Amino acid sequence: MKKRTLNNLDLTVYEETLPNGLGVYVIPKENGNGIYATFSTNFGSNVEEFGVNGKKKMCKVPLGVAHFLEHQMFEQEDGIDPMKFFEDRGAMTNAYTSNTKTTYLFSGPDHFKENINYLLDFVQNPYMTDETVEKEKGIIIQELGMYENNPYFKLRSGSLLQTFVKHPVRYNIGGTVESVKKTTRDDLYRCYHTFYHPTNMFVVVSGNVDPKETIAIIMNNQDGKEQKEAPKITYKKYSEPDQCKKEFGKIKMDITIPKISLNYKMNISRMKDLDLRKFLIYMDILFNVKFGTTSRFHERMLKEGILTEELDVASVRTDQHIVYMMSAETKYPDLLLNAIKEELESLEIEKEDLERKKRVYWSSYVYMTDNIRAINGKVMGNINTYGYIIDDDYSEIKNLNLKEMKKYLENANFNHCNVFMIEPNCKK
Amino acid sequence: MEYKKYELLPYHLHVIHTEKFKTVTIKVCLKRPLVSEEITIRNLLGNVLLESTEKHPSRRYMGMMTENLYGFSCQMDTYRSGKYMMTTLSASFLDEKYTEPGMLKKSIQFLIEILSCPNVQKGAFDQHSFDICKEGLKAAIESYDENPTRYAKRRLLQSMDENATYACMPCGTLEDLEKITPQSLYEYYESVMKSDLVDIFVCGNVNGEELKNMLLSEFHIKTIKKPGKSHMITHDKYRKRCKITKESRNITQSILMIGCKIDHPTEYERKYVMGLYNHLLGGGGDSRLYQTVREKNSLCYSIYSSASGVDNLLYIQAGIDKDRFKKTTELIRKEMKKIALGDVKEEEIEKYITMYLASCKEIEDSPNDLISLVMAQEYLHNDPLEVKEKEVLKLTKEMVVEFASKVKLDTIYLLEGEMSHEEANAQ
Repeated sequence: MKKRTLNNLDLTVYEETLPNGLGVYVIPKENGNGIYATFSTNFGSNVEEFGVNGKKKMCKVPLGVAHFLEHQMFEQEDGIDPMKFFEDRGAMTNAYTSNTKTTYLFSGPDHFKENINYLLDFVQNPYMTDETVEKEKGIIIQELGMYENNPYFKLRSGSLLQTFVKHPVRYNIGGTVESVKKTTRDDLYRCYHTFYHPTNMFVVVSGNVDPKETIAIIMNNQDGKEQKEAPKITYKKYSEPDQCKKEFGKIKMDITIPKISLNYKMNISRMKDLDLRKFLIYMDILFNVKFGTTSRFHERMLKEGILTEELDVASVRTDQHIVYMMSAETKYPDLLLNAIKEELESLEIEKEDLERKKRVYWSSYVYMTDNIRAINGKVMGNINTYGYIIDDDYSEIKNLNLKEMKKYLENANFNHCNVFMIEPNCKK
Repeated sequence: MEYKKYELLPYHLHVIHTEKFKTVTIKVCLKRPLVSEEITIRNLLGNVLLESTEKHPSRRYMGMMTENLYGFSCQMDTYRSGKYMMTTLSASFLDEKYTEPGMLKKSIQFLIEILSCPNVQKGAFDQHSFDICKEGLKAAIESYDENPTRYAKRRLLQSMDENATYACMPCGTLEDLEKITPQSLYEYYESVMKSDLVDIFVCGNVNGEELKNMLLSEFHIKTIKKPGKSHMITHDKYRKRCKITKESRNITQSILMIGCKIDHPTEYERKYVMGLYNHLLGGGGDSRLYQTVREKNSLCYSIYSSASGVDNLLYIQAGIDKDRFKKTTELIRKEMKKIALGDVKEEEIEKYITMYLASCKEIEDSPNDLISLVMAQEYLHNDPLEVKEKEVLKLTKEMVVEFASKVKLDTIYLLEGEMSHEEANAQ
């Protein structure tokens, strides 16, 4: 068991890789009652085509298959719904799928041993029949319908669809009604056997637990299971261009105020000796200084009535690109777009601004340590993205400086962008 | 953990002392009986107070101050709690042990500054801040109905009784907004500070006595107030036959909303049985509605019920296809009837009690939950944690069946989606 202390955060992560390859991470927090446990596979919606054990023929699966599988995992052969199992023990369970992983979880202060064993067991014992798969289609199609009603979801999905040309990140995590309808039990089992091997999965437990005991329980659970050889997975490589698929797109929805997203696509695979993570931190700070509440830009936009709320900046990454999506609701889309572009002509910021943002950036890590879900989220994110835990965010943030920022921001390329907007329907 | 209430004359201070958190959380709650004409001005006031102060004359300066206080986060919420209008200024900041000495005092001073040193000139709020907030509230009112679920809930409540307190537009109206001036807003501010009931809730590693002294010397509200009346809304009219209302809109998924009135529950029913009933009906993944409507019949992705003890209302909400309206509502009615007829197992009650006790333990892990608990004690006369843990053990099957007879189905509202998935994605 390795012990890793998170610098200046009063937290320790205990790590163990089990003989079957499963990664286990435990972050004890003895002064609370709650326990939050997640069991994740590095399999998300970005996997659309893959090869197994060196076979030449790649396997193509319907869009949204990772999300479909997440739904199906709640079907159990003994007919007991995992929801009921956990509720009987005063806990709750849930699951979600992102572009890069699928996570199953429970949260509850009591019966930890039973709960963690059950979480591992239900995710490692799939039970899917043609009937369960058919039944789930109706539910998933309703879920997609719920997202279709949401203008902010449509703004994001429309932006990604016209930013990326080939990479599956351009599609919704849940797929489409058509792809859901054509998903079969075989597709689901194929993905399960490929991506749910312990070598591709990890468990993170945070809260009122003993690390040694927790790792022993999980190890014992895994020891009792049939050990299969890990499949060698080949992921399809996409030759995604730096250009966007479309420069402009719009749809109409039943809304009152137009919504707009300006999307910058940047290549991050050619950074040479620079640390990608640091680049991303500097970019976050840049956007915050330029467009956040304390910016002159924001003040001017409010004064001129162009914005009523802060501009939202979100990002989506693949191995080659990052897209920054700057979105807002505004009655004056053209004025806003011009103002953003103008602001980005200079990437210089003041030292005082950088120091203030560093203070807030670090504080957000301290805030995180009061919340076992947030702690779990940080560890999960680190493992899924980097494969290891970042244990010294403190020094990293403390050492940020203007000179280095300037060097890093030379890699920020704002040449490739597109605009997606949602206009109000005339009919109300 | 230790709770102490200080009954200071102009306001009450509630301190939950604990060394468990690295943060200090504060909520300042101002309340007065709801008057529908005041909803808009009250919303605007909350926004204007947070926009700027005398010392920090714009949102930009306010933002810089919060960043200098190590990410001091604050928000202002204006909402209805039964018969009352509430305005809550919530703040959270790091314990100075993790920042630098003196930060606790500076953070509390800033919080007080937001409420008591507004950006005012010659008896009127600063025009610039006023204009920005007016524009912001206008946009919020205009786009309120963009969210189909929020719209459906509003229309359901109006269909139940358009004159009822619970049917008010939560963020106000454009008509009322146009009438407000920087002067009239300042007059309203003065009346709020003079006559609203004020409670200050604090959770963290703070010394109650020191905090009390700091507030008394810096937060000057001079008026002495009488205790408020009950927040609870009760109903006196019930429909014999359920009302059905349908509207259509250019959206993909249809939203089904059902509203029920609860007929004069006892105190114990409101505090404990209502939660059990809601849990059995549609409160979680193992509930009747989730299992029947979603899992067995694949009619929806999302379905749940929620109960409001202060309004004595129960809602059921689902996203469905419009042509499945009849089947879904039949199933919902059937499940409600089953509970009323006594189809409740002892093990279901035991499960609820287990969950309830577990959630009581988890409350102690969150400063916001601890404050909500004390707020509910203060405003709704709910029980403290140790009483809750004992009282919940008394729940029986007979109680939930008796309560079910008090749940009166009032209105079924459907917001029909006119657009297919294909149309939504063809643009």
